[in-house]
Amino acid sequence: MSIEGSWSIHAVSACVSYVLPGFSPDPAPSAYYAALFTDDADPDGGGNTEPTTGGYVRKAVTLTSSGLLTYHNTAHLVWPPISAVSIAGLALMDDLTAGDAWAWWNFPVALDATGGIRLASGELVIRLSDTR
Amino acid sequence: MPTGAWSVYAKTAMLEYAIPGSSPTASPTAFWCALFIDSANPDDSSTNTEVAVTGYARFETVIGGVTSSPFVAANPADLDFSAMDPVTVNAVALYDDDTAGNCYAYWALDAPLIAVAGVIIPANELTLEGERF
Repeated sequence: MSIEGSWSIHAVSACVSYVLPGFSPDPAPSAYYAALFTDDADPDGGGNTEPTTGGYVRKAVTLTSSGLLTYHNTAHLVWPPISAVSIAGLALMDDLTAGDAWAWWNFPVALDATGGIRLASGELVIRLSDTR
Repeated sequence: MPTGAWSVYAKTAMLEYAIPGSSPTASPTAFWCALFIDSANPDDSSTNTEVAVTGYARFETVIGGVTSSPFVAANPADLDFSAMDPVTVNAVALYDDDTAGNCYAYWALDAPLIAVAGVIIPANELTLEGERF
């Protein structure tokens, strides 16, 4: 099953600035790293609490085109067990430890991280609307 | 005038800018405003008829930032088509060239502009939003 993500305000501003003459967009990301959040992954809202236990680290993510204005995660994403936390969402960050969030997903049901987290290829979908 | 719509060409460039490893098309260096007698939607080009009356030429157009969150941009100055002959305008678009090029955004007008002695599109009439997609 796939989940459709949202772009952050940072991403929208950078991308729109890229196509407007005279604007200076923030640099394009050179790579993405998936970060997990225990509360809310929306970088423009509250929450954004990343796990700090169990050897948790962000995972490198590549995206593959899957149609008009649509991309998905190319490979599966696996985290080993992360102590007793539930994971509410995930964001694509442009840095392994800090940086800006470009896109984010909140899961319909929080994921139990005690047995590890595994997301299948194609589960994270991000797109732009082609209707306006 | 309603908020403009980004073309698929522009959205593709935006999206590729945000995807590591992509090679997005180069940023436009300038915009020119074009007027259409029917539709300006480049993604449904069957009825895109640009104005061709005497005195008409695309008008070089600056789009400036208005607000950053949410991102809104607009034309800070009037767009002066006052030298063209009478015509009815139903849509407006931004191109990256003064005669050809690629369409980046377009506006379908709620009501046609009846140009008796040219048209001036006032400042801040052409708005574009950085939607949250």
